[in-house]
Amino acid sequence: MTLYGPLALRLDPVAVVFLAPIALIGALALIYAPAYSRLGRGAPFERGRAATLGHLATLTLLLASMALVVVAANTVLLLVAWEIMTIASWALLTEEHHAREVRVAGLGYLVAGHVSGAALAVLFVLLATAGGGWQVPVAPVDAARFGVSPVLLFALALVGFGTKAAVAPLHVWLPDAHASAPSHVSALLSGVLVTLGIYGLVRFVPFLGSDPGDWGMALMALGAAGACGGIVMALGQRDVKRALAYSTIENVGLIALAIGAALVAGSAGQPLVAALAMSAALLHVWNHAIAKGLLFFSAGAIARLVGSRDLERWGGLLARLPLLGTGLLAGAAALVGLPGTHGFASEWLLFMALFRGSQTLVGPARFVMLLAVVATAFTTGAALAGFVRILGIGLLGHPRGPEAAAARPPRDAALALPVLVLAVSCVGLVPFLGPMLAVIGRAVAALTPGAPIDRVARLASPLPWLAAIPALAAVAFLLYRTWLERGRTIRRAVTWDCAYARPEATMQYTATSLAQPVTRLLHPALRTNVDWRPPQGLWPDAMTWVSRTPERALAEVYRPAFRRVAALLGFFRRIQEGRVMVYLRYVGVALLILLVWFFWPAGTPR
Amino acid sequence: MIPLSEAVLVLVLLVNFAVLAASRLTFTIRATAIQGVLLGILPLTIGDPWSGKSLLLSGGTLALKAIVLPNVLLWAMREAAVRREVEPSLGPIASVGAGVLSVGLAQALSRNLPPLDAALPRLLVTASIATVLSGFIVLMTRRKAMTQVVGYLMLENGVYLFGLILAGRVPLLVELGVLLDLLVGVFIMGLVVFHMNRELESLDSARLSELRD
Amino acid sequence: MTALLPLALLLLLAPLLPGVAARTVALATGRRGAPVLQLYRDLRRLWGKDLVYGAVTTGVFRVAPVVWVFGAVAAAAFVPLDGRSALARFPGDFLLFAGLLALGRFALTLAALDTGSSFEGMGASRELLIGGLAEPVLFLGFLTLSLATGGSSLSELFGTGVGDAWPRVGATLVMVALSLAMLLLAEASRGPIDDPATHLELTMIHEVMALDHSGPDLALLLYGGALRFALFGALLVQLVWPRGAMGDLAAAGRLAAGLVAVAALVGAVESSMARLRMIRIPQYLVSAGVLASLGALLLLR
Repeated sequence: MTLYGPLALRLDPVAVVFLAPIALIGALALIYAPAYSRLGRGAPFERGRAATLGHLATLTLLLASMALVVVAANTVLLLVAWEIMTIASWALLTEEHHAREVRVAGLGYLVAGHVSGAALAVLFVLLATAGGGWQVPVAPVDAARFGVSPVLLFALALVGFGTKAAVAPLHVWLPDAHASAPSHVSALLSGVLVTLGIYGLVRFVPFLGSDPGDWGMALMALGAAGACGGIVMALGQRDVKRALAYSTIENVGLIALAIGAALVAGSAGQPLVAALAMSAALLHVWNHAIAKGLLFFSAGAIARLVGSRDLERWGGLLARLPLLGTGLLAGAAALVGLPGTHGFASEWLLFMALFRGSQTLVGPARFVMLLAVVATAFTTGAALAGFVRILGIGLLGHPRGPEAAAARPPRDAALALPVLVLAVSCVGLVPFLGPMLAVIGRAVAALTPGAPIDRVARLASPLPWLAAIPALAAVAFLLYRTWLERGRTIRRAVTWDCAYARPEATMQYTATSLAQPVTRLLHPALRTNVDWRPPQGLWPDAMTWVSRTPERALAEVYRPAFRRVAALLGFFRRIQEGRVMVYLRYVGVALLILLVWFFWPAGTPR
Repeated sequence: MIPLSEAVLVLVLLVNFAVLAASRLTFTIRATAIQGVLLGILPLTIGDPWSGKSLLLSGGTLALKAIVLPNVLLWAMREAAVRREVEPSLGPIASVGAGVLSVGLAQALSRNLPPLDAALPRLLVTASIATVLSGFIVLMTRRKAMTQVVGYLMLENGVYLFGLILAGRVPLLVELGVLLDLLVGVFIMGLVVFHMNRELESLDSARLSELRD
Repeated sequence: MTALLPLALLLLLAPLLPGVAARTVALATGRRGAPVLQLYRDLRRLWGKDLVYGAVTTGVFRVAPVVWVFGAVAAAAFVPLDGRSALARFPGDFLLFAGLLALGRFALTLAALDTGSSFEGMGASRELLIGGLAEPVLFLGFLTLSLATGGSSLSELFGTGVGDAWPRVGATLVMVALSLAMLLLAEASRGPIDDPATHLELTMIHEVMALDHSGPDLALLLYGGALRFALFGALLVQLVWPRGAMGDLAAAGRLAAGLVAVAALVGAVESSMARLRMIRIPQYLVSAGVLASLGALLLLR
């Protein structure tokens, strides 16, 4: 009998679902990493051989720790792996630490990691005292019987896993971290590591005692807030990787919403709805890993080649970097959930769950489902706008700067391969949705007792046929082209611009102006601040117009709160002065207090 | 197809939303006039249409809520020369969203009330609570005194709808008393608005705080 | 086979609808107006023309017109045009319907941005705002109908179930029909949202995105737009004029007559209302959503 139980591993269906993205994106990241560091003019962190090996070793350590988190059957082992994961990813994230923003982002990441780890440590200890032992739970613990509040357990699980998963409002560290990490690390963080927080939530939340339906409602509310807020924030970002990071918050929100819906439906006795929702959540974990990995791989390489992550310096890149551009296009289409990509499948499952839930549930649960439909529909609509913005401004039109105009495709198969593999799987996985859902179904059966997996599979059986959509569209296009090019002159001419003969790059719509109707509409929520110095006088010399969409949760909640805490802790710093005399005084005072404590004449002798 | 009374109540709900979304004052006043017409028709569609009581209630409501009160308000508006609501503290989209939530709340509440007579339309309670809440939204978020009168009118309309549930049991006199009460109330408010405009040269009710000494 | 006939009818009839709407506007404003069949002539003329591409355009610009039409045609396959069942149906196909329309919008806005023109960027920006808000409204409409009929495919939501649902939940269906009609005006780029007859680029939304398309590409764009008009019109016809016990031919005639009536109504709305300011468009779409959600709320008891 060891102290914390056997350090057992367990490879069950749930673990398999979460291991798959680690293996896929991890392997591709290992291929991509060395090529990425050689990329671009004056590659900012070109390394020697030893440093590259060190980087790859850390990357491997990260992958191993992530895998260990998923297969650990013992909470202490899980916690150890969790901490290794945090440290390893932090080391990778701060690779380019000569830039100040990277150091700031790294600090934020480390703080979030510590908060998460601390919450988990307390959670696991409480679970052990509540009779759950040191095993990752497979059955509900009766926490209340041991005097442990289930609310507290849920709050700890939410902080511990939700911080890693960037469930709103615990997401503030993510945009900085994912934007400033090297791109393959961003792909791993956004596509895979974040979903391990989801893993923790699905593994622990159903088993925390009391009715999981209440937790489900809370998760749905947080998920909806994260989904809507994340995608709207993404619309306001000029930094491509930042916009992608906010899109991660959106997708995690959708996954959290789906898990919440599964819990609500499960506790209301609607196993079909629960199974649909849980399948949606797990399938979306896969879809998001593939699409977001692809987006970061291609966008990161493009950013390196252009020398900027600023959308307003991109432009005209699909023609210049066809492969990377197509990768970005495919990833965006999949993440928006356009029919014909695998992304549509999880969106379909989620909506089916919410619609069925609205039809069959009663009372507040039904009302919540109705609201969730609206929130999810808004999210998908806004996601379309957000990604059209990234693609249209970033890849199409005139180049918006000399660097974009001079961009040449990299001659490096190690860069092309990951992009190619993931881009092909965005469309190519659609015919294989049946087997994919079968694998996920086993995990769903383990997580939601009594889930009618076969009915889900039957409902979803038309989905693989949607692979016909891109195929038919391609055939239609080819037929149209061959017909078009027969006996017809096809000319190229300058873009028609209201009879103005010299349209230029600066006349194009910008990323900011494209999103302006939305940012204006949502101004009460977004608070996009515009710094405008209008032209003045008869011969105006200069004018400026700068708009920024700040992270409100950070600026208005966390910063003030941290400042308060810092002020509070300043008191303790005064106590710790560093002079021996003072410390001796403390010892003296402590001795006095103890003496009084023990020998004060009290009613009962101690 | 659908019972006439339900259709009228649905239209009453829609008028609430029209007022919540509108920014032009004449439009809101006309909308309340239309709501008055609908409320006037309503007693005729419930129960026995040609009983003397229904006719009297309907006629009184039509005369007051659809003709007299809106015209008083329009007159006051012309005198005070106000056109539209400036900067409501809750924008039109948010107001309409709050309106939807109030209908949801009304539905939830009406389920918990004891069931009505089978003769009464099921929507009556919902419509009444939702109209009261919409009136409150207008009262709480609009600045112009004139719009606040409109909100007060909507509130009163909601109360009137609730009164219809009891119409079979309450003496007619009480009903008419309520209507008269309303008439007096709106007249007083109209006069207040008129004088406020004369004294302050503005109808922003926020400026009423300047009147303290 | 019986499902193919109405589909063919819809595809053939689509270019008639903008003509009918334009003619109604002309009549209402005391002009004679263009012939009702004008769009058919335009399409034939454009179909034979040569092509000009903008200098910076890429493959996206060439693919987009095909995807735009393809999305609308594929979506039509899931609408129960004969009043009973669609050509293809499965539970949850309304999500595919919405997705296919979104696919078309995705292609069209990307093609607009591909030209690098400031005007087309403006059009794309507005289209994205309208599309982003129209999507929840459409879903709310579907949701309300699925609550009213208990169905989960377009063929159930708009098929025979609607006729049975009218006596039970008429008020709700009226709300959904109004919401769908408002949505039609937005999705088909008609007034008071958009003005298909405007000649000033700054005020265009949909038309401005077609500025750089020419020849057969432009024909596809125009046809796809007309088809979207017809699609939403067909949904509206199914909703307010259920098939009942009609025969197949009578049902097809009902569809045609209903579509023409919808187009004439759109013309009537266009000629009687001023165009909304851009700021009002979100309000308009939110109102459409409010109607649909009111319909849903009336069902909850």
